[in-house]
Amino acid sequence: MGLRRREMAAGVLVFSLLVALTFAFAFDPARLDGRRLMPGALWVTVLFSGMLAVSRTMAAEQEHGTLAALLASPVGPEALFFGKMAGALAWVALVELVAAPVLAALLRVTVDRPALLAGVLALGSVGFVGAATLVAAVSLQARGGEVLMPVLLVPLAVPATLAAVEAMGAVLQGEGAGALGVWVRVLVAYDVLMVALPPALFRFLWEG
Amino acid sequence: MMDEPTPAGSAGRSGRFQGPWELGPALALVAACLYLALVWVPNERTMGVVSRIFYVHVASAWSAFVAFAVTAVAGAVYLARRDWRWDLWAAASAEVGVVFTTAVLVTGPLWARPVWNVWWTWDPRLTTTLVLWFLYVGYLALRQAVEDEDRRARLAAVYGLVAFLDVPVVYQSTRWWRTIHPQVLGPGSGGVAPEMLLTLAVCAAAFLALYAVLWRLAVRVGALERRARQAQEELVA
Repeated sequence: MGLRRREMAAGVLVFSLLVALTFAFAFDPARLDGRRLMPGALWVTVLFSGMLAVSRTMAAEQEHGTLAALLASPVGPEALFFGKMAGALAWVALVELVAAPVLAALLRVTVDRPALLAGVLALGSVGFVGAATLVAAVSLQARGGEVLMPVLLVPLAVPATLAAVEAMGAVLQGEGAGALGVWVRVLVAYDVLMVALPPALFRFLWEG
Repeated sequence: MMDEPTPAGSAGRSGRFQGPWELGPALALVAACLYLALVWVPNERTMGVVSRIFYVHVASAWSAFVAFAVTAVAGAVYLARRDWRWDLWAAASAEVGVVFTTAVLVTGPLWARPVWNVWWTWDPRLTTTLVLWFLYVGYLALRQAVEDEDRRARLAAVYGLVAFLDVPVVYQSTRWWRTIHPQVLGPGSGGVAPEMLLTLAVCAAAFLALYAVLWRLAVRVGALERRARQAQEELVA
């Protein structure tokens, strides 16, 4: 368990740094406005690394047969979902903690309101991770699940992607509460949907 | 939804294709739609001949939406009842829905290029339709990737439900962008000539009838595939 976690941390964090680095290579911060690039670059980094982390944690359960044990135990499927989601959310938070400052440095962005940026990022991550946890559990039971997962998840995550990128843009551009509020509303709606629906459906995934 | 054909897996004659008679009404309606839309109805004043694609475009969009709603509802009923036919009905509807969504995504840019001067724009309805297409292509890919019948039905029903409920949020999230998609019906529209309304009504009926026919065919193919698989398993066993 401990070893597994250390391998995961190294893999996921290094991968997120590589994605961030690729953005810095692809978009020259000397010629382009970093504040405009940062929201999209950061969200794509979170999206890629988050998918990797969520699918690895689920696959590890499957490989070790621990999922069957967990399902046989008296914890309900809802508790199991929230447990997996909390674990995945921790990974995504770790990625964000590392990737956000690195990207800001590479793209030469000064973040004036870091707490607000973190809040927006957190709102976007909750719904995204809820959807990712469900989709990982679905695609894991299919052939070629690791390829199927992004195909199923990315369109499902469109509201989080749009709203998180726009909201981060509003924060970095120093826009007022009005511009931000619209996107926060979308994020909250998406979070509610993706935290309420998956646990209710989780029990249908393992039966018979 | 109540007069579904008995799938060929459980019945003989009623599950068989009845020939052109079964396709007849839908094909007659489609022919009427094409005549009205391409010949009879006058051109829209500013857009000219391009406006005629509107009838096929809107009718396809409505049918696609009906198809995906049927998929979501049939999936939910499957989860409640565990009758394999509901899963078959859901899957068949998604297949036909993807075909209609593809038609919407092809006819839209054909219209947009001369009228808006671009093939594509990130308007809410366009974006939502594109996301819808990806969601249900994903749904079909998921079905392809699961062998076991019960498991496939459960996973597909869960994903189909989440995908369907995600669509309003997708639409909301894209609505805050500037909308340039024309609002033809409903409040705030410029009003529609009676000929145009009639043409649209006939085309909508035609495409819904086409949906029903294609759905029945897809159900039948699915049921036959299932029976063939079962026969194969019996042979092996």
